[in-house]
Order: sequence, then structure tokens, then C-alpha cells
Amino acid sequence: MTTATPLLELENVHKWYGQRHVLRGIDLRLHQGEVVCVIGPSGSGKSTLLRCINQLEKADAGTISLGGVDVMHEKRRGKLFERSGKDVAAFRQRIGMVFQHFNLFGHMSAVENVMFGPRQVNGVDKVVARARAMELLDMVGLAARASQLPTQLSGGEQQRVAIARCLAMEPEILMFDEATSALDPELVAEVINVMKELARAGTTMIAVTHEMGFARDAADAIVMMDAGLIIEEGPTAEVLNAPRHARTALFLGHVANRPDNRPDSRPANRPDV
Amino acid sequence: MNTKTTTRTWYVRPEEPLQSDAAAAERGPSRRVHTRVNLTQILIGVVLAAILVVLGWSVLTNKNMGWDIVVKYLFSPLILKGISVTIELTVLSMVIAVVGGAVVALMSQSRNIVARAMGGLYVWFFRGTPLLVQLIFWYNLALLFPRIGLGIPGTDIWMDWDTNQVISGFTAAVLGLSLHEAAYMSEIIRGGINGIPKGQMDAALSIGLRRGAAMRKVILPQTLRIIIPPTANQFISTLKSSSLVAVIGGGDLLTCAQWIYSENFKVIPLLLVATLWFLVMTTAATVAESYLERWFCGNKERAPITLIAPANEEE
Ligand SMILES: Nc1ncnc2c1ncn2[C@@H]1O[C@H](COP(=O)(O)OP(=O)(O)OP(=O)(O)O)[C@@H](O)[C@H]1O
Ligand SMILES: [Mg+2]
Repeated sequence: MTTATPLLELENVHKWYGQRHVLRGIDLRLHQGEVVCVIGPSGSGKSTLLRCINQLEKADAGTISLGGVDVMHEKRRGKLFERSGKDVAAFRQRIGMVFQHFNLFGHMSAVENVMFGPRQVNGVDKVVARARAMELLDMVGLAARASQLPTQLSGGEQQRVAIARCLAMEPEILMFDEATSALDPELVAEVINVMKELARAGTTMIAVTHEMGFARDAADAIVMMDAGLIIEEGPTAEVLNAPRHARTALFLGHVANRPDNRPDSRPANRPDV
Repeated sequence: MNTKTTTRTWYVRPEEPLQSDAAAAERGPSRRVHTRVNLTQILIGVVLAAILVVLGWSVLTNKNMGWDIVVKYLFSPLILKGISVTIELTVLSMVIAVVGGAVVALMSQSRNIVARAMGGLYVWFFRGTPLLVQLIFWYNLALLFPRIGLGIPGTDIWMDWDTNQVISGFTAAVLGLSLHEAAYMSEIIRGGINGIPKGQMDAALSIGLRRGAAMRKVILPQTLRIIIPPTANQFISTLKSSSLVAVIGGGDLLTCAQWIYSENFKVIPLLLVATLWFLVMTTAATVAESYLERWFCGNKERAPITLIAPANEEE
């Protein structure tokens, strides 16, 4: 698997916000069917990383390639040029993104949210798009709420609609940016279950999450970020059970103590409080 | 036992099935509570009502008000003509102002610095000068450009007109009002666009929409809901400020009232006619606004209906 071309490859990606160096040289590889969890303290650049990958923010240096093709630049007559807006949109379409605050289109019902992308971007016929949207809503367990507006749905339901909206575009990679951290504790599970289901079905995923239960069950690898750098990456069990970087161990200790992670994911060597 | 430790039983609500409306109804009607009589409030009410009656009486019975003349002119053809001009003027100016305002708003949101500067300059100029001055200015445009021409560069097609013929009172009025209102509308629309959470644009882009399409299909439709109330207010305020065009003979309701009283000298009755009609128009516009608002914003407030009665701890 590791010998094939990675589906997504980042090389030495940098990002500045003004004077602030937010990503300081990120290298990352993601292969077809892999699930990677990105963890790290607040402000370490996890969201910025995902936003750079689908170019909601422009990376200032480095290369990002999807299926071996540079998504930011194209070569013409031996020179590198920025990609056109049309190309960028086409790349974004291949990478789905689920946001912390769902970002459902407020003026559209659940099913219209899911139909919107295929209709607008791919010009799919209305009847076909609606039928497909209903299938997807059914998959996330919300077929019965298809005609509700986002304001009439709970956070967990909104997030599941948002996932369906992504899936409707049939992306090659799904990215989750703390998809459950704006949810009430009792609603987290319904979203996590959908994410686990997708992982089981072989979806390629990058998930920024602090749900260690999800990481343990579904992730192939963990990437630990701190201050704009990846400080450790490795197979899930190795990173979680025997972190090599002291910062990772410390961070995992903090995360494990969050009430929603307590039951099964606390490192064995930590005393009971 | 230590005296400091007081025994305290913590309340745990026993498990019970969720209550339905029917169960809540079975608990019977709540106790009836009677309204308190507040003497001070009654007294204040009586005094205010008395003042209103006296004022109203003196106005209604004042000979100089000339109510008979008011009635005579209320539906006179010239007044009705004036009303229709006022409405035309307001609607036309507002339509132009909404379109122009949207253009200016998009310019001042643009990533192009020249467009941004132009948008800012426009708003700065037209909001910073009195409407009355602008109206007089447009009316006297002929002093600046005696002839107005339109042509297609590189061809022989060229038309021009005598400015004094093109700029009638009415056109000057439309020009002045719409340019002025466009500045306000652009601020309203800009506020509306900024009122949409940034995540909406992110989400639209992330599923593969281009920025322009995202603006048109995702941002602007949601902006509509935000800008309807202030736009309706702007409409009502334009309805009233359109009366300023009387100074340049715009032909509106006030202009017509003035034409009439300049001949028969019944100033107060004709101003009353205008006042009454303005009240009718603004009231109608206000009612229309509330319907419009309900129509556009109504479903947002449609709350889900729950069958679970609120818990009642005293039982
Ligand atoms: N639009 C912006 N302008 C300026 N600075 C920003 C912007 N967005 C993020 N930053 C800064 O970049 C840094 C990384 O932010 P980012 O949101 O990527 O962190 P994060 O790891 O996702 O944190 P969190 O767990 O809190 O979401 C932070 O210090 C933040 O203040
Ligand atoms: Mg973040």
C-alpha cells in the first residue's frame, strides 16, 4: 500500500497569517482507504492544515498534490502558475469537508442542502439529485427529516446532514474538522457512528478530533501537531499507547481526562483520580 | 454525632413515563390570578385622554383648518395625479437604488482595490450631502452640461439632447432620489452580506462552487431575509423624503398641493390633504412590509412542536 502513489501528499507546506507562522513545514501522506486522525493542542494549526488542503486558505509555500497532481500550481511553458479558480473548484470538489459548526445552508431544507452541490456543480437532474440525496439522508438516518430547515434540526442531525452533503459530491477524501466538538455530549455518538461507518466502508479520511474512542476504533494512523509542526505520527495503537514524544504523552494525558473519553482510553500507567 | 454535620436528603425524582399533553391536562386548570387594579395608572390614562380630546377638538373645530375644503380637494384629479407621481417616484427610485446599491455593495466588498475605493467614495459622497442640495443640483444640470450625448465609440452612432429637455422636474427627482438612496441601500446590503456567517461561503466553496456562484446562490438569498426589514424602512422614508422634490417642481403630491394653494391660497387645507394621503401611503406600506417580512422570514421562526409537558416540580 505504501509503495503506491499517495492519494494526498503534502510537502513542506507553510502558512503565515501576517507575521504569524502557523504551519511551519508540514509533510503528510495519505493513501487510498486510509483513515488518519490529526490531534494537537488548540492553535497548533490543525484547522489551518485542512483549510490549506482544500485551498480555503492559500498555503504560502510547499506543494499539495492530489493523486500525484499539484493542486495549487500548474506548469505552462516550463513555468509554474497559480491554478485558475475553475481548477481550484474542481479540486475542492474531490475533497469533502465537514466543519465544526456544520455550516448547512440556512435557507435550504436538509434534502436541498444535499442536492445543492450535485445540481449546481455537476448539473445533475433534479429528480435524480433528489433521489440520491434521499438515499444519503437515509444512510445517515435522517430520511424522515429531509424537509426540515437547519434551524429545526439538532446539532447532531445538522452534522449528519452536512456529512451527507459532502458525500453527495462523491469526494475521494473526506476531511472532518472537529466535527463533534460543537455538539452536546449525548449527540456526539450519533455523528461518530456515521464516521465509523464511513471508515469501515473504506473511505479515505482525515479527521481532526479529540474523540480518542473514534481514533482507536477507526484510525490507521495518528498525526500529532504542535505549534505548526507534525511532531509525531505513527500507527494508532503505537502513538496512543506508547507515544515517543513527551509533548504527545502530555497531550494524550489531558485529552484522556476529558469526561467523554474516560471509560476506555486512559493510558494504563495513569493513576486513578 | 457531630453537630456540624447536618443530615441532608438529596432529592431524586422518581422515574416515570414522559408526560403527554393529556396527562398535563389531567392535572386540572391552574389557579386563577386576578389582575391588580393600579389607581395611578388609571389616573395617568384619564389625564392623557383628556388632553388628547381637547387638542383633537380644537383642531377639528378650528375654522382655519377648512375641513370642507379638505374634503373638496381630497379626491381632486390633480391631487390623485400627485399621489400617483409620488408612488411612481418612490418605486422607481427604490428599484434603481436597490440595483445600484447592490452593485456598490459588491464593489466595496471586492478584492479589487480600485473597485473598493470607488464604492467607498460613492457612499461617502452621497451619504454626506443633503438630499435637497442634490435635487437642486441635478435639476440645474444644464448649467454644467448644456447638452447630453450618447454614442458608441468607433461608430457614427451619436445622439444628443438638450439637457433642459431631458432633465425635467421628474427626471431630476428620480436621479437625485435614486443616487441618494443607492448609497443607503449599499450600506444595508453590505451589512446583510456581512451578517452571513463566514462558514456559509466556506461550505459552498468546499463542495466545488466558484466564488461568484456561491455569492449568488448561497450568500445573497440569505442576505435577502436580513435586508428586507431595513429596505422596507428605507422605502417608507423615501416615500416621505420624495416630497422634497416639490422644490424643483417634481410633480409629486406636495407639488400638486402647492400648485393648488398658490392659486386659491387655501394653504392649510391643502397641506392637510397632502398629510392625510401621506399617512395613508405610509400606513399601507407599513402593513405591506409586515406581510412581506412574515412571508420571507416566517418559516425561520416555525418552532418544532413538542408533546412533552414542562416538568412541574411541586407535585
Ligand atoms: N484567519 C486568521 N487570521 C489570523 N490568524 C489566524 C487565522 N486563523 C487562524 N489563525 C491563527 O493560526 C493559529 C492556528 O489556528 P488553527 O485554527 O489552525 O488552530 P487549531 O489547531 O485548529 O486550533 P483549535 O483546536 O482551537 O481549533 C492560531 O494561533 C490562530 O490564532
Ligand atoms: Mg480548529
